[in-house]
Amino acid sequence: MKVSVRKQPPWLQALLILPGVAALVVTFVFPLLWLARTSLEPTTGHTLSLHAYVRLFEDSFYWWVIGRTIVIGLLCVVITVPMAFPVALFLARSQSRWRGTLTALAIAPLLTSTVIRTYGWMVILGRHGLINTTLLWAHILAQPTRLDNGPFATVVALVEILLPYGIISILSHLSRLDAELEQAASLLGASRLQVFWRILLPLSVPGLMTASLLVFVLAISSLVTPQLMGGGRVFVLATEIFNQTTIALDWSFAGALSITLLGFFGIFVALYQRIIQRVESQS
Amino acid sequence: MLIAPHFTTRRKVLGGLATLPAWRHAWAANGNLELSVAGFHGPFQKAFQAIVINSFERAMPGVRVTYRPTINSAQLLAALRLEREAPQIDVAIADVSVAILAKQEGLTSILREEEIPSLRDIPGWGRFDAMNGVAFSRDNLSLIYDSRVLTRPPESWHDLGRPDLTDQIALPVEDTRGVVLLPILTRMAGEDYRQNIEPGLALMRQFAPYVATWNAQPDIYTLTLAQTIALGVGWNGRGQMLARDNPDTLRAVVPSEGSVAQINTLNLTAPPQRTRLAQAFIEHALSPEVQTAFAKVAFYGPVNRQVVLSAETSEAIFGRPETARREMHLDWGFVSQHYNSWIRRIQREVISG
Repeated sequence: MKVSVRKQPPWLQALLILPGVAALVVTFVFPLLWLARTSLEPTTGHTLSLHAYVRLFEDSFYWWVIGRTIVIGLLCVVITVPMAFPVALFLARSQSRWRGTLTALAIAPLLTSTVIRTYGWMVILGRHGLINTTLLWAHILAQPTRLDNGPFATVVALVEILLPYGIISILSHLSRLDAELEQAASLLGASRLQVFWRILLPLSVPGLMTASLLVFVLAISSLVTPQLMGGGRVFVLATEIFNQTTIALDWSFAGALSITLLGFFGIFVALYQRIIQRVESQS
Repeated sequence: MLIAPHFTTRRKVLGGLATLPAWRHAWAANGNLELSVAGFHGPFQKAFQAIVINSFERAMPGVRVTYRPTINSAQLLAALRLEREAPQIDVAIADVSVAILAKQEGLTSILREEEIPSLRDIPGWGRFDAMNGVAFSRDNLSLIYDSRVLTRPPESWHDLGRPDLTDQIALPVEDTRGVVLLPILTRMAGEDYRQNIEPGLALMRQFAPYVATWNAQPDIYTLTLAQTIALGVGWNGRGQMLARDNPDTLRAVVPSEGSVAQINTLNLTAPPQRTRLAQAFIEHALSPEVQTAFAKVAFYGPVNRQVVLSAETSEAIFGRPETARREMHLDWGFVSQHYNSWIRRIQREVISG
């Protein structure tokens, strides 16, 4: 049966998207413009100025902070995505009647607040935490070692917190892949390893890229985990924005840092788009 | 448990308002007035409500005071900025550094002795040109320690560099605590913080290898109670309050070299129609009776010269008499100018250095 789809008149289309656009303007565009305006506020006088940006880019400390932010984000990607991939693959290919339950369990941590989960890591990695206690009990350590309050603890907690996002992103892509392609490769004599390397992994690249982008963006904008797990030693853009807002009370500089962070989001989204386009054109 | 004082009578408060005939007239005619006070949340709020607000409301039937807690001074400053055209807060309790910034931005009004007679009893360090507000209380930086680990109380700021406490020391110095500790350490090295803070920074750097955290989360008191850290720096008022409730675990002590107090200020931010009532409230909060009760219950140092504390309360707040004599009053006008640059130097040269 042929189904004819009647095209809606343009005015109706515009009317239908109006509420969504209006909500976006009020909740996203206006605050963003206000943030940009704040970042240009002068220290003296009334003329808008770029002094906050000049200060930001002239100061090597903030370049170091930007570098640390990107390194922590990339570390989280490098650890999280390979961990998420096998879980997502198992869930995507599972024929078990428990598949739905297992999928729900994989993303269940998202139901708990990031703060609670981070505190959980403080308990595990703390001086009297599970790991130190176990190592002392096994006589591997003579005295507790510092596992918390630093970059290591921050990355460990971030990876655990971001893992469900990685799983969801990859799972949604793998679920759309036709499993018969892998079966066909096997029938044609490919080993399981060859099927993985030659068929499955290349087809999974868009899903892996989406997961990488999501994990990276969430990692570099994360505040709570670096604050709680970093022990004051982890300087990233988000913690600097927080400090400038609440301690230094320099909203103009905090605005400049926020816009810079947003700029990094833009750069990485643009990079992601280009890579995805290239992958799609090759396939 | 907080005990509200019963000494502040309506007669005393109204007596203090004798210079406010216009306001008294409005109050008598209206009978119902509301005042909004914004300030720190947590134990400070609890004590302020019980000691200051409740006694004011009892003395002034028909007046209702609402306390608006703020998470930190930044939130308070944000509220004052946003409500600049139509102020909703009548009295703002803020750190001295925020009080100075608020004056620069024209968010607070000047206080005068004609309207608030108790101002005459406030010393110069609690009332100065850089701010419009007035000191309400002072809170010393002290050493917070776990008495289960340190059976002998720490005596000196040098204890923050004890090798036997490696990874058990919390030094949250990326905020006012650092800005206050720096002049103390500088003075210990025989220098004046207004001339040169290098010796203070050098001493802080010596502590660095032993520090577990520079950003005690959720706070140093909780970490001490949970046995996560054994020693650190914190505010004495809250430390003493918690020590009273947990005498076998947490203690707070002012080291023998003396300390520096952070000043909590009262700032007039009321619109004209509520200015007189807000002034009356500030007068009440500065009265010796209220100041004494607040010091006794919350362990915040009084600012009114007429206050005489018991020896026990005085020792809890200022340390032993010889220690109390070494209390240093900062030039907050000077410190506020260097606040951000000092924190930047602590971040770069001590923490990540």
